[in-house]
Amino acid sequence: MRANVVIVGGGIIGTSIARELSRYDLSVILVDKEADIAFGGSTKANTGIIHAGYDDKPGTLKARLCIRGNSLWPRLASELDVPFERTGSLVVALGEDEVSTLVELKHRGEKNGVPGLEIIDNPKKLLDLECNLNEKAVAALYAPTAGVTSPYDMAIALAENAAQNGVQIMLETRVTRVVVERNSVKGVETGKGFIETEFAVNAAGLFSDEVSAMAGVDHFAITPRRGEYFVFDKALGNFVRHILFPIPARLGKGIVVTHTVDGNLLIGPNANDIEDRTDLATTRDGLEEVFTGALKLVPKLSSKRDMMISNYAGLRAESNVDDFIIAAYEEPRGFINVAGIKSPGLTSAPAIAEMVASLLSEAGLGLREKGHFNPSHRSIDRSIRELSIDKAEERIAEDPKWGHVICRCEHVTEGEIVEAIKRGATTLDGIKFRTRAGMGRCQGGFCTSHLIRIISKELGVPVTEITKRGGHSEVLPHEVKTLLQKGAK
Amino acid sequence: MIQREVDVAVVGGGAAGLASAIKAKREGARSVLILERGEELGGILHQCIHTGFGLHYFKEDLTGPEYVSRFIRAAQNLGINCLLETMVLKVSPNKEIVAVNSAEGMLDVHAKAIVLAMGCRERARGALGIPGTRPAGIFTAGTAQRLMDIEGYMPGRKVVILGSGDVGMIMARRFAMEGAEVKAVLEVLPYPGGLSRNVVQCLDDFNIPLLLRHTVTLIHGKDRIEGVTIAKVDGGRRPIPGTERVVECDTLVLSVGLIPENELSRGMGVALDPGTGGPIVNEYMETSSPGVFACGNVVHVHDLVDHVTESSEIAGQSAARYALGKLPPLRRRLSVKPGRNVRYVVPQILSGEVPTPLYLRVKRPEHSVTVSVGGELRVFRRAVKPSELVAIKLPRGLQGEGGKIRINIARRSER
Amino acid sequence: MKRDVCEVTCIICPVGCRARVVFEKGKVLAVANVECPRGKTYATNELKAPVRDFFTTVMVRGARNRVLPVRTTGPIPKEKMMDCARELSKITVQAPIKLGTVVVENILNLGVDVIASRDLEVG
Repeated sequence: MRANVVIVGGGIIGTSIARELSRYDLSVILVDKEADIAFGGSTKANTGIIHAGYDDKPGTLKARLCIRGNSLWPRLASELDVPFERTGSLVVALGEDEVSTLVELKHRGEKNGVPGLEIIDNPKKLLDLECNLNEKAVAALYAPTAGVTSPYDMAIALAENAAQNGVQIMLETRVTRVVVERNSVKGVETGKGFIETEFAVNAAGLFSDEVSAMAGVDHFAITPRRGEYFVFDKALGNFVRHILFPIPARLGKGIVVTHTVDGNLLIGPNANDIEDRTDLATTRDGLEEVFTGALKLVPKLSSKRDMMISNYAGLRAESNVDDFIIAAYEEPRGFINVAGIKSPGLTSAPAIAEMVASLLSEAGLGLREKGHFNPSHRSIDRSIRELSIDKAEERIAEDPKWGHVICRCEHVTEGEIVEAIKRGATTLDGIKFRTRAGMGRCQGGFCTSHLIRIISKELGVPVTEITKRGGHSEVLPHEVKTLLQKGAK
Repeated sequence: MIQREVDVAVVGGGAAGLASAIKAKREGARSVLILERGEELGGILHQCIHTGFGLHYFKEDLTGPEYVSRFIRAAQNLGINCLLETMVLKVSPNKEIVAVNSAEGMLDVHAKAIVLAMGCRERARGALGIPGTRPAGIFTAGTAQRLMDIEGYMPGRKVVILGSGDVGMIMARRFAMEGAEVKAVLEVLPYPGGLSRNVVQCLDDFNIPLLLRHTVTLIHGKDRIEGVTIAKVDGGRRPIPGTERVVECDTLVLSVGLIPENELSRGMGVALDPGTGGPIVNEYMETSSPGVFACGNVVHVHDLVDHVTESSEIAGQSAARYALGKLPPLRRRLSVKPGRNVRYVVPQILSGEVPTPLYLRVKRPEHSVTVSVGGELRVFRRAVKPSELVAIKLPRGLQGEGGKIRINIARRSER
Repeated sequence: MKRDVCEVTCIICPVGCRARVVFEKGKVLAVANVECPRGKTYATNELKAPVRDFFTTVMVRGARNRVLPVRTTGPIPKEKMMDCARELSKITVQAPIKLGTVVVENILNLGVDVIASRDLEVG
């Protein structure tokens, strides 16, 4: 196998770079060790916020790329048909002693070039804006350019658009060696064979220090920093309209209260460093911490605990360097690091992709624009859910599967599920992230048996081999009667 | 959009929907339509392959499929129309139903009367907030039952079950009978959540340990579940430190609560009772929305399908009469209130003028009690427990007091 | 004259009386703490020769479902349940099936048949 560029990592960063490079006349291969795009520990498990950009220290890459990224998001979301809502955000001061921090953030933001920042110091106005806000709120920093999106929807859309434009995506492909000869990258060794290339881009997230060390660049280390979240039933309604932040904590932006772009209330994350970069377990103490933290902003949530439908944890790729590590090297030539990307990584992603393209060009990769690059991507149709009756009827007339509802909490049809499989989903989670089947209040209780039938039929695989998310996560490893036939216990 | 006009539309073709549709047709409704989202009529009963159904209604001991088959055949014989694999998306207060299926696309059904019979769903792991990983191998009991007894696949081979309600215990027996190892059934309360007969026939018969006052505090395993940490709990259901231990398993089955499925009811503004999770109904099984009736598990979670059938027939009969303009409004509305040791009562509104079955659920188990209906009627019961719905036949002539009838459970010595 | 006492939970009705059975040399002398005669019969049988209703599934070909629910036409000895389960795990039936069809006659010579619990169409 051979490519001009190999991108290691299929999270939001790797897929952003892939899509950016697909504008040019290049052969690009993206590899990821998981069974699907965004299946690692970060992209599918963060807060989904597009930050305004006042948090980052002026002059850092984070600051610059966050602002640039934020400005690119609306157009990108539109081109790729990914949901994005500019809700605006409020950093809330719950006491007079916290107001000076708001002023600091505002100044920092203005230095970074964040538009429209305003300190609202009228408590009554705050409560008008957010009826469930803690009445003790004295002031808030309002940032109109902050917004919410679905990070895995975007990663999947980027990957699909990149593939449309010629990028080859290899999943379940783990990089084991970066081959360097005479101080230049010669290729990467993977579980599926050797890929010859002169340019290797490391976007391996939680494992980016390991991949970097394979190329001999080992000046940083990644520590996984866990964040836990709760998701609430959509029936809770519009609990908050903006993204609500507390005054920033020691280890991050604090426990946030926001609605997701799909309409669920989301609270979290906390921040705890852990050892195991594959450990996505939530903890009892951590979940309590998140709930208690959220109550500081929205005390009325205390009576809504029974409307929780899910909780999960994500891991941030925290590096021991105080900024994004985005660099090309002299030793070895052709190796680009895009490492230690944590918040505001999602926001910065489109800008990071631009920067990586520049770095590659400076390192000698010829970038000639393709005549036929197609920037447009259509996500899977949601005609029933969005109840556009005429559109739905048209769709069903073309293909009756679009009239057969499978996930009845989210009204996802067989048509959407089959389309998700056509687009590369092979697992229950792959279908879940592409269609939302299984994300509703019954959490897959009703649709799981139907999804398994459909996957088995469409892919021609035995039911016993179908997994939740690849690896050994088989859902139904045994047929009935086989255990009885194995004889006495 | 295809439009239809019917006398009675029934949302849901399980036990409740079938019984109400059949009764509506027999009562004279000219057109009765069942809208069912599954691939066949019968609902959850097809996967309840054990006996215990029909002891009251048919005076026979039938399996779930045997019980519901009688109603399916009756519905077919009566010419009741059914739309299968048809999802009702919304119902408006003026009784217009929007639904969708593959064959016809979008459907618009105008009904003179509607019966809501959507049943219930299971409480999932996410709603419990059990910490730990999110691997494959965690199933709610009903899902495990469907996978095993309809799809024909074993959810796993080394099982821990959380919740000793009847569904949990029944699944313990199913797993054991299919050759799996059931390590334990855990119950957070100090007494089993289901019938004693199920403790004997599902757990004792198969040497499956029942651990009372226990719960799952952590889930382990990356891809597939590898074990759970269990702990003893105190009176406040809090884990007692030092009692934790890890139980190896490859499957966790959750039987921790059933929730009436009232999305459509909420969407049409029908008044719900927070005690039941379902619509407030009167003795006609009519909701707060005129001409909209409800029956089965969507109103409150039942233990015996016989009770579902009984109250669904009332709903169906009332719906037909309403559609034919023959349902007189209640002349009096007595509000039925849960009193001492009563979690909920159904129906919540009575006229007192006709004999009516009353169902109630208690909060705590008690022996030798009197169920007092507003002080006007006293019924003795040897034992009452939360896991068994109490069914009482109310005679006509109840007066109530100040527009209310209070239902109390009193110990025999108290009068 | 050694007497044994055993406690058995009656399962005939929801009350669940905890019957106390007094027996000697394998013979039941008395049954106490039951509220009805059915309970007395049940408790006696439960100690002498416990029986159970039996129901499970068998594999089926040619239908939408892969398994068919079945039950026995009468109760079977409690200790034979797993043997019956293993015996039935060996067979596969063919759709269409009518409710009540005998799937296995006189299973394990216990004097009961195994019948289909539902209709199952070709699908």
